[in-house]
Amino acid sequence: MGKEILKLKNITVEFQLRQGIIRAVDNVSLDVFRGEIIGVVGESGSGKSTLASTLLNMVSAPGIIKNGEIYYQDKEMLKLSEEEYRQYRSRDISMVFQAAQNALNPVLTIRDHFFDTVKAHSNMSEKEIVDKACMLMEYVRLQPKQVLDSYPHQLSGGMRQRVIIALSLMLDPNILILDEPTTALDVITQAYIIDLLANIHNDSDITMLFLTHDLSIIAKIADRVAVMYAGNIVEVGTVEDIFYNPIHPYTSGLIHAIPSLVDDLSARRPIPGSPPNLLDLPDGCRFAPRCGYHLGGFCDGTVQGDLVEVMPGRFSTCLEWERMVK
Amino acid sequence: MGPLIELKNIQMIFENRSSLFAQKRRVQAIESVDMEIKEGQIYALVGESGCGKTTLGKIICGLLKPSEEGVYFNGKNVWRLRGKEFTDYRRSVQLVHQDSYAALNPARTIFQSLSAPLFRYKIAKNRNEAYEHLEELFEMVGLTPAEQFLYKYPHQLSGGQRQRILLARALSIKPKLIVADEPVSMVDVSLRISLLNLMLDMNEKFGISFVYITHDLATARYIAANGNIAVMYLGKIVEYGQLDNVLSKPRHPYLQALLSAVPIPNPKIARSMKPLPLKSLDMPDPTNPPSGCRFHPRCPYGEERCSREVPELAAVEEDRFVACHLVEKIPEWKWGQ
Ligand SMILES: Nc1ncnc2c1ncn2[C@@H]1O[C@H](COP(=O)(O)OP(=O)(O)OP(=O)(O)O)[C@@H](O)[C@H]1O
Ligand SMILES: Nc1ncnc2c1ncn2[C@@H]1O[C@H](COP(=O)(O)OP(=O)(O)OP(=O)(O)O)[C@@H](O)[C@H]1O
Ligand SMILES: [Mg+2]
Ligand SMILES: [Mg+2]
Repeated sequence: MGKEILKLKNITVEFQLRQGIIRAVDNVSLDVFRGEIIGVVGESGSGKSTLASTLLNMVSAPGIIKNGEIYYQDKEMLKLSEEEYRQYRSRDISMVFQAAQNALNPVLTIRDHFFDTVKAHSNMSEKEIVDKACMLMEYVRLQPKQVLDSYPHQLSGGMRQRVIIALSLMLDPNILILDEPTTALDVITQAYIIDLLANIHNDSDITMLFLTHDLSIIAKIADRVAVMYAGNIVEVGTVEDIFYNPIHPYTSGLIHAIPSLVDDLSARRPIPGSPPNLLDLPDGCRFAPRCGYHLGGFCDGTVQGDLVEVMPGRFSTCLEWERMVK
Repeated sequence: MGPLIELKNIQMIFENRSSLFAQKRRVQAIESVDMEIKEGQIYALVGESGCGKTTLGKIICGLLKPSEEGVYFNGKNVWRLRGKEFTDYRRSVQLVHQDSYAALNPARTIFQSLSAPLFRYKIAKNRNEAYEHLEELFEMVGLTPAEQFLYKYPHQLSGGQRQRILLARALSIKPKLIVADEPVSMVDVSLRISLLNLMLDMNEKFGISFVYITHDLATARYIAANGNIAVMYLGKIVEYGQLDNVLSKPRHPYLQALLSAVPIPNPKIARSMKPLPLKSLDMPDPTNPPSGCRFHPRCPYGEERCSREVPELAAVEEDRFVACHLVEKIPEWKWGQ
């Protein structure tokens, strides 16, 4: 495995709301290795998008990064001024935002989108920009001639998403963060975009951080996986670890809850209860009210464990993780 | 006993202008669909965005009038029903809308919206009875404690919560058929199975039929394991039959491509899938559908004839229908390599 390209240490992000403070990301630490595809999987509201925006120091109001450090190639990023941080966005760390295909500016052509993205960060000439844009568009199998002078509404959702991916690669970033890049798309388009991203990854040494609620996509593309629950990372391991021998009961619950086209249907079970309200978290372990070990009397659930490396490369917050090792 | 609902040669054409001077846009959203819905059965209706699933669902429920009449409830044309027969049809066939926000009146609390049909159909005589009835249903759909949800307005709830409320509303009047349009798409992954199980329970206990509309083949397989599946492409049913049989031996090239695209939550299988058997990725423009077989421009097996002649949905074996000229020549499809 490569060296860390990105290190997150004890990141906490809070939103001050009228009803109280919520910690959308709570004391999250994670190492990302150069050249890997790391998947972050979690249900709606678990804090994936907030975590992603933290990496660009772009947490939306009223959120604040309360605590923590982010090291990019050993540089402490959160100490940089806003102006200095801006230099890193798009060039070093680029992001495909959630629902980005709906966020293209409706009055600009795709060509103008390419100009806008690049000109803010580099002094490439218009010709150089168009040449590179065409190359990338062909790579994502769009016809540059047809697409460059189109307006966003003239393209299908899948085409817009491919434009966004091409845009995000214009400045040759080292890290590409993808927040639910295929969620609103049809399965065929989705499969196609996932293959495309896998190809981009194979053809370059780009590092990808892939955030999604969809475990099936993680199974297809990720090397390693971090599982989020209510603002915490509760488990980290290789994709095989996570799918075939999870060591947090939430991960195991998720794996057994998703129906697929090939499994034994009778083995599907929901996780009881529902995800916690961040304004009213249970005392102790956040997963306890839904956890089989707690409900079965094997764990009193009074302590929220920290994310600990319990075996080489394998992290879990569950105090009873040993029960799950096969 | 005849089928509960019968669709005969349904056509649905939408014609509208986006602005005064724009060209009229004409979409044939449904093209000659025939289908029978029997009591106590579960049907999955699957296909990609824009293929006409919601349109067909609304036609079944009598919320859209097809361009050609042809919806029969207990053998009678629903667009000619009057009085008590019409009320009976409306009560018996319920829709769980795909758009859960539009389906609830924003100015009313959930209790106001959900108690109204209980009074209308005399299931509850007073507020207390309505409350008790709804409390029980909310528990079933995992919205507890019920009072936390009943007095809220739709905008105060998440998409997943609204979807569960719509399902509770449909169940509350014990219909004979529920057309559930993407009922779990916004629900958290960890809760989906419990809602699907709830629908299966309702099917078993009360014999409620379901038409489960989705683009997600995995949940379709889960809920309709003992039922039938209809696969749609650009307004037409291209394959129909018993679900297990259809999904284990897909015959139509479109269904084969669709199955190859479905991500499998198992890294070993997911990584051994072959590339998509498709000539082109993009859906054709529905306002200008291809001639002949609507799938032919994307079909890897297409022949000259396919661009000329429209294939009929025809029996290929007992209870199994496929609309493809080349069905006998299409290679067998298998998982992975
Ligand atoms: N700008 C904001 N103001 C207030 N609360 C916010 C804001 N952004 C996020 N939150 C809250 O932070 C929590 C985490 O949200 P986040 O969007 O990071 O989750 P997510 O895992 O990306 O979910 P999804 O899968 O739905 O995209 C949620 O409770 C959300 O309501
Ligand atoms: N009221 C309408 N006026 C004009 N066109 C319509 C109308 N309703 C649907 N259509 C068109 O009919 C076709 C089928 O739409 P429909 O909503 O039934 O698809 P769907 O299969 O439910 O898609 P999705 O999976 O995105 O919900 C589409 O091309 C759509 O644009
Ligand atoms: Mg998000
Ligand atoms: Mg629909």
